[in-house]
Amino acid sequence: MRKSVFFKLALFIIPVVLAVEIAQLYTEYRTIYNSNYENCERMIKSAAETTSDIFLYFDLNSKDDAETYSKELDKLCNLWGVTYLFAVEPYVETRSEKYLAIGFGKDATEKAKKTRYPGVYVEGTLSDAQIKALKGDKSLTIIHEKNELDDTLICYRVVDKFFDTKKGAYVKADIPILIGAEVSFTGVMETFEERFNSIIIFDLIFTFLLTLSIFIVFYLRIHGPIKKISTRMKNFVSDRDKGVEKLKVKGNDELTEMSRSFNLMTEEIDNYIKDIDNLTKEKHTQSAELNIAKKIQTGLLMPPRYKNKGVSINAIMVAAKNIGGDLYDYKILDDGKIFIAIADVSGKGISAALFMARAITLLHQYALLGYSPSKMLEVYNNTLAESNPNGLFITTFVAIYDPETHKLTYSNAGHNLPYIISDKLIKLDDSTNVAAGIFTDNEYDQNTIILKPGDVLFLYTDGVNEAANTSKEFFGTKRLEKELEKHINKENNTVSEDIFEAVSEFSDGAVQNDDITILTMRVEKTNSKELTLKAEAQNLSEIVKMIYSEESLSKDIKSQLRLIAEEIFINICSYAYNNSGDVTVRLDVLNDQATLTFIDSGKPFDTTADVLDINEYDHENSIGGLGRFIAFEIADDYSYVYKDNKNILKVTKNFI
Amino acid sequence: MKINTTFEEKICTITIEGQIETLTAPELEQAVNDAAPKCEKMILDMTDVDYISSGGLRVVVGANHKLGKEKFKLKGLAPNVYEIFRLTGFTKYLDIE
Repeated sequence: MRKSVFFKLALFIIPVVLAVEIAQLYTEYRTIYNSNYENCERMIKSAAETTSDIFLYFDLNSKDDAETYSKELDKLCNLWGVTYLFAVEPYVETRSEKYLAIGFGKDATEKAKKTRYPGVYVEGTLSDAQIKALKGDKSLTIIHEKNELDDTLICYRVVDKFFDTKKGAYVKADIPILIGAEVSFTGVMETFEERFNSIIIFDLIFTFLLTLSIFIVFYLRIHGPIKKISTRMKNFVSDRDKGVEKLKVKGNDELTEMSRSFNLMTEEIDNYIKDIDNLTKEKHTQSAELNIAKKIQTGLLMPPRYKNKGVSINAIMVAAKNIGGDLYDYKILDDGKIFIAIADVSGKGISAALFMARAITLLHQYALLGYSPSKMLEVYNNTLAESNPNGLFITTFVAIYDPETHKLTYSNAGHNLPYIISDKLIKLDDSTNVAAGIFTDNEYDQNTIILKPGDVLFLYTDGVNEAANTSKEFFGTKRLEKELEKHINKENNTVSEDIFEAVSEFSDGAVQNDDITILTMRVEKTNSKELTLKAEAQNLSEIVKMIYSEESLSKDIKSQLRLIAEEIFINICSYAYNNSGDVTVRLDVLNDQATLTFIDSGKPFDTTADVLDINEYDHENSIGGLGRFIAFEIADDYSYVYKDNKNILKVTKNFI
Repeated sequence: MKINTTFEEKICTITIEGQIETLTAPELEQAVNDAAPKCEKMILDMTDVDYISSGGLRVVVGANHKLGKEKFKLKGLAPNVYEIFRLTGFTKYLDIE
């Protein structure tokens, strides 16, 4: 209630109404006062006139007359509502007066009755007003006397003639008689004021109550509905799930109009929210589908890490917000060669993604078919261009690396030129051919470069060099080359991670506009030692010496490799040649793997076949095969081939 | 490889030091064969042996066969040497201290 606007309005309006009321009452009071005054004036005038008419016949010397006239004046007092009616004989010189007759009205005081009576002679009471009346004309003089005690209106009239009954005519009197009609205005007003005061109180209370009740009615009739609307507005969101209840619309006033508008608004908001909900759901579905598509796309890619004896491959692909069209691929071919590729479809979105899916499938297939890089791109280009309604194109770099010869054969269809991080940074320089997918029957050049152990081939898409920061600057080739140069002569292959990190740091939270794809292939460093010696048991110490000279190996591994080497070498010495022949023993140490290779040109014999079953071993009569058993038992892997009239046995031991 | 044979009340102890490989195994075989007739029990102290190949195993297993499990004992096998015995399943047939 206190907070209600009606309360505030009432606080403001009630004083105003009361002020108006008081002003009105004051005016009313003045009007009534004046009318009372006039009334009194009229009364005393009439009383004075009548009295003076009577006193034309007054006999100054008759005591009877004094009494009779006094009684008559009493009557006249009551008739005219006058307090005193008197006739005096004035003595101007002495300012005295002699009461000839006096009548008292109902308001006359007891004191006056005692002091003023017929025949009494009062000294010094003749007022200036009375003297003025005597000196003035003979008509009426009205005096309004006001003091603390009383507020009186007096009307004086002079009777300066009398009717001489003997002569039967009016005779001028020697001494004029002064007639006074006096009314106590206080008395008149007192009665009125008493009544008026009660009227004021009643009026004020009535006005106050009326105003208050009007506000209460307003409060109940207007505040209620407004409160309801505001509550509904406040709880609109929280109550929305429960179903929006419409406000009642009854009548045709502003509040009804407001309720109707509110209902309309809630309905519209509700519809709007529903529309947004639907849109959001749709968007969610779309983005969920995009996510699935992204997953499928990522699923087409090879794992981001691969490592074998010859190479280690690291890949990073971070798709832009929308699904994109980058791809990388690699495959270890049957002959041990390694196929790698990177490509970037023009454009983004589903169409680019589908194109990418097609491209990667083709590349993978061509690699497995054993195509050379240039043939691969030629067939790939033609196949893509045959059905490419959207005119998308794809820049593609493909290469095949032979770990035996360290030869990298590559061909490029418009892709960013890769780098080789060697003793220095080398940009693979070739005449770039046109991107694949649009023009058929292109020929693609093929080039070869020899890689050294420790070299890193760095392939990337333009998402790397065109990565922008918030100031719209590009990462750029120069920055890329600077970053790549940091990796020259470095032992750890962290190029892909480091470059990606540098790009991320550079972009500093700017939106990634394009897919970022990096593929690195590092030629692993191998420590190789090789000995060729006669297949004779006493040469064993040479092999042991070779193994023990490999510093990167632990004592335990050396001991285990020695055991393997001894068992296999002795086996070869015993069985390979009828007479004598050479054996080549090679030790390759690569990362956490050591491989012993034994090559002899003796009679074909698969050392790995028919290895002893230890459960059937005759412990009483020891027979052959125990050595081979021990060697292969200790080894983690072994393989045998007979190639070019040579037995080639490879035994691998992993370090823990 | 160094071999030292000691006798103590018909118990002979052959102490071997170094590596028992194909080329050195015959030496050990010789030492075992020399000592065998003179002792009721033979102990091979291999505390200082850090390597053994199948050639060495054959000698040990052969000695065990010749003397019998109760008269033949191996002593002080280093973990990597013991591992070779275990791999081949010989631990089941030999008395290893």
